Amino acid sequence: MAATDILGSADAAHLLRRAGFGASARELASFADLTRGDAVELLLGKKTRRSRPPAGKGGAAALAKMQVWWLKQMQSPKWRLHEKIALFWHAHFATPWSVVPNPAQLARQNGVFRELGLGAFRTLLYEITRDAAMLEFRDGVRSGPADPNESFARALLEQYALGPRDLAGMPNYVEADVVAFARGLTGFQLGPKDLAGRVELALFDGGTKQVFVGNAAEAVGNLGIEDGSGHELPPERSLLDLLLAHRDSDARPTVARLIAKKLWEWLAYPEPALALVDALADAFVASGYQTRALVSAILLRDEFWSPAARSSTPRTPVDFALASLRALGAKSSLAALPAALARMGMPLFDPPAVEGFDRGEEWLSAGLLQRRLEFAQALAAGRSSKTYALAPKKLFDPKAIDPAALVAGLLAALDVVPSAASLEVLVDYVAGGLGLDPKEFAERTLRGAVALALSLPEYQVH
Amino acid sequence: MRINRRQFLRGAGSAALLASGHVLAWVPRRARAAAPANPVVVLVQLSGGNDALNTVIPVNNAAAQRSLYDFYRPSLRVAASALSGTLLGTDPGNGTSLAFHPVMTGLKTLFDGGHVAVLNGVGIPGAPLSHQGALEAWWAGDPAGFAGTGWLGRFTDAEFTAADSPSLALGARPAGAFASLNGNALAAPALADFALPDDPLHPDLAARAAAWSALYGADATDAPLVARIRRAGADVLARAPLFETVAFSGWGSALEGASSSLHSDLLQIASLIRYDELFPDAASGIALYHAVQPGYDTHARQGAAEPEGRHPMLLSQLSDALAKFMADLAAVGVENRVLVLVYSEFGRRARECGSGDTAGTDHGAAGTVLALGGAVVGGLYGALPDLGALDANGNPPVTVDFRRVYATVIDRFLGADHNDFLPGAPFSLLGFLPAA
Repeated sequence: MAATDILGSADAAHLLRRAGFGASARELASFADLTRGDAVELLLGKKTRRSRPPAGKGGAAALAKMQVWWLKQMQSPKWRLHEKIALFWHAHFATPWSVVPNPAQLARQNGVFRELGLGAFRTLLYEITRDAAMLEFRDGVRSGPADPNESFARALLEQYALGPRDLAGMPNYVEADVVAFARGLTGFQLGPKDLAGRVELALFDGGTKQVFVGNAAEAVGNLGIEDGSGHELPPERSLLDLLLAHRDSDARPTVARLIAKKLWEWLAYPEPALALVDALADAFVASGYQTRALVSAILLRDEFWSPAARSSTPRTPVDFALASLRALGAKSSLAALPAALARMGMPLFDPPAVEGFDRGEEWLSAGLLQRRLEFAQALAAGRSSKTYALAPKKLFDPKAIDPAALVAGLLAALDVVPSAASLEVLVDYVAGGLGLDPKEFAERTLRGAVALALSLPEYQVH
Repeated sequence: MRINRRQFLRGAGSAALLASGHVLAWVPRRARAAAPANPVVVLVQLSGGNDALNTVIPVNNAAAQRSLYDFYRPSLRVAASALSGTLLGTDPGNGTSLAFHPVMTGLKTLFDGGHVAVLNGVGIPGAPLSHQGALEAWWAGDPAGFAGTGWLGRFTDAEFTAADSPSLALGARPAGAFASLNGNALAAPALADFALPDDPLHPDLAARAAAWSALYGADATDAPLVARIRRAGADVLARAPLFETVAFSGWGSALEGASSSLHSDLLQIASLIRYDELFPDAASGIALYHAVQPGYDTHARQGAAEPEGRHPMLLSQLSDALAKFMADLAAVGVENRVLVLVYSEFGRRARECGSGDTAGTDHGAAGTVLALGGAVVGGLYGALPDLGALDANGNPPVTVDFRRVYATVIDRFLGADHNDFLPGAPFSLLGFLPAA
């Protein structure tokens, strides 16, 4: 299989679910004739997206406005992949509104994810290191030379760049590295309206620090970070470059492996083989850590298109909700969606734990699954675009009366293949409404079929 | 009566089956004299790493602990004069007199009643400083980390079947401590709103509920991932009628009306335990609960003594919620068969960072575990880590292997043998639960 292969409908649906948030029948038709290479290029585009959410005055209304704005961006056909990657970085750097309830700061951070999400990872890491919301969240603005605060340094090593252990299970760093990084990241200051910090030399620990002893990235000296204000700091080497120079116990680039594996799992499937991770990491390094190159490499791998990738991973709540709206042609102001997503475990801008949102099968604990059924019921009952406007008559062939055909049409729109037993349940349910008058059949039974189809166990994965 | 899940879900109605006593109360397989019948363990995790040193505080200067505390905590220290109302007694290790943080008045009253054990110096050998690393060790009951099952999940694998739901985590995420090979650890963020909504204009819930039950019956043709989802859905549908039946408010719980999430979680747990006590024939069969109180990762702005500070506020909520929970258990008459275990991934650094209002503490090692219940022999256990002999990272060192706490609970409260469930066993037991 090659990048010149024509997609066809099934592959187009797979691509648009993973590299976007689902597709309508019309979109599928337009992608089905493209080659893999052309489709991926089309989704990636050449442009950089510079846009950030509106920053309201504060409070729950401001948060809701940002959430709805972002969901609308995710629905944009042109930018879907860019938004999928922005969401990845939001989950990765997981800065919660509940700790940093500052719309302007979180809007700026979100803009960074959009503008640099597919750009140079080094630049992204730098912008996040001096990002106002992150400096508040991880106490970077409260870290001076006398008593460096370890919160951000620890997260940088453990979560954002290296991970506690490499793929062979060996530690990537020791406690002294956390302390040295904390010292090298001291001195950040934020003016009252600043959305990015500057390093104040008087508050920076300019002493000698040693990191990564015995590693390829070992360094001693006045290590620190460039301050972004124009004048250069004394640090002899930037800690961010040392992170990129770090090699794990297999002598492989640690950052590249971490990001390649995590991004693969975001777009494709869990637990990729080591050789696959390394091939992706190599592509990432060769590009100078351009995330666009890594994403392109992922989407053009044969494994991405393989049967092993299909129905291999739980849909996140955002994937679940947006793909459903799109496939069903439901119109929505999206105003009700942020709260529904929060109930399903994915409050945008407010990840519930320091390590971010749930991942993988954590999304499908019994309690969260109950909330998916709840959403399925609400969407199926939606008769106003203030919430969700679903029109059964547009969704089903008005002349069809055969329950099996009706169900088959619905499942095709949702692109889900249930087990024989599940299919029988759906068909039986629809058949049970045949005695109703046509309006009641549409309003009760056809909407019910939608609710049940969205509730299928098979539909919770993609 | 033992029926399989498919039959169960396809039967005349889950509610009827539940009400007829499908889930029976259980008795430990190797019941020992000291273990109560139908024991219930409630784990409360103080998420983020609770500052044990400002939870149980040195008061006098035996072994120089008070002056060391004052030295390391110039901003965060709680004055000895503020601790006279919450004195706990003398540390069995070094003789320092100790007190709860002054906001912990509810727990102090319970402690004086004799059924609160304060286990000092508890932690993980090797003292991992990352949240995830430490949590996984606590979940697994193994310093080597988490390998798929929790310390109590392995216990449920031995004592329950895959068709049971012996454990429940309040929250979106399953509790690692309950992760079992049987895959029967239930997690739910809130139980009171478990009912699914109907279409208000064209009601159809009964027909759809029947279809859902059928959709979520086991299907032999499933891929493993879909099979696990079907299992989770079956749990939802099997539990929904029960959760709709249980009164989660209005029964006089002391926890009602309070605003903290811990109060709300403990109210739901108390309501279920009460329901099981009142209706043994329809009991939930849940023996293990997990609740999380978030917010303890106090790198900055931790607060010292003042009640409105961040850490004091958390401790105050904790103390109040636990006191009210224990009052509920006593009112229902189940205090002897419920054990509450409060833990946190680690304590915090001895030396504060920052100063004044912004002072906080970095990740530490040893922590304090609390055990509460009618079966608990109250008092001070373990040994306060010596502030004069901090570990290489500047942390109060671990004096009690956390697995000793688990071993004690398994042997003396759950009536099982910890050698079956804890890697590295045997461990010497602690005295906070009585020997047979």
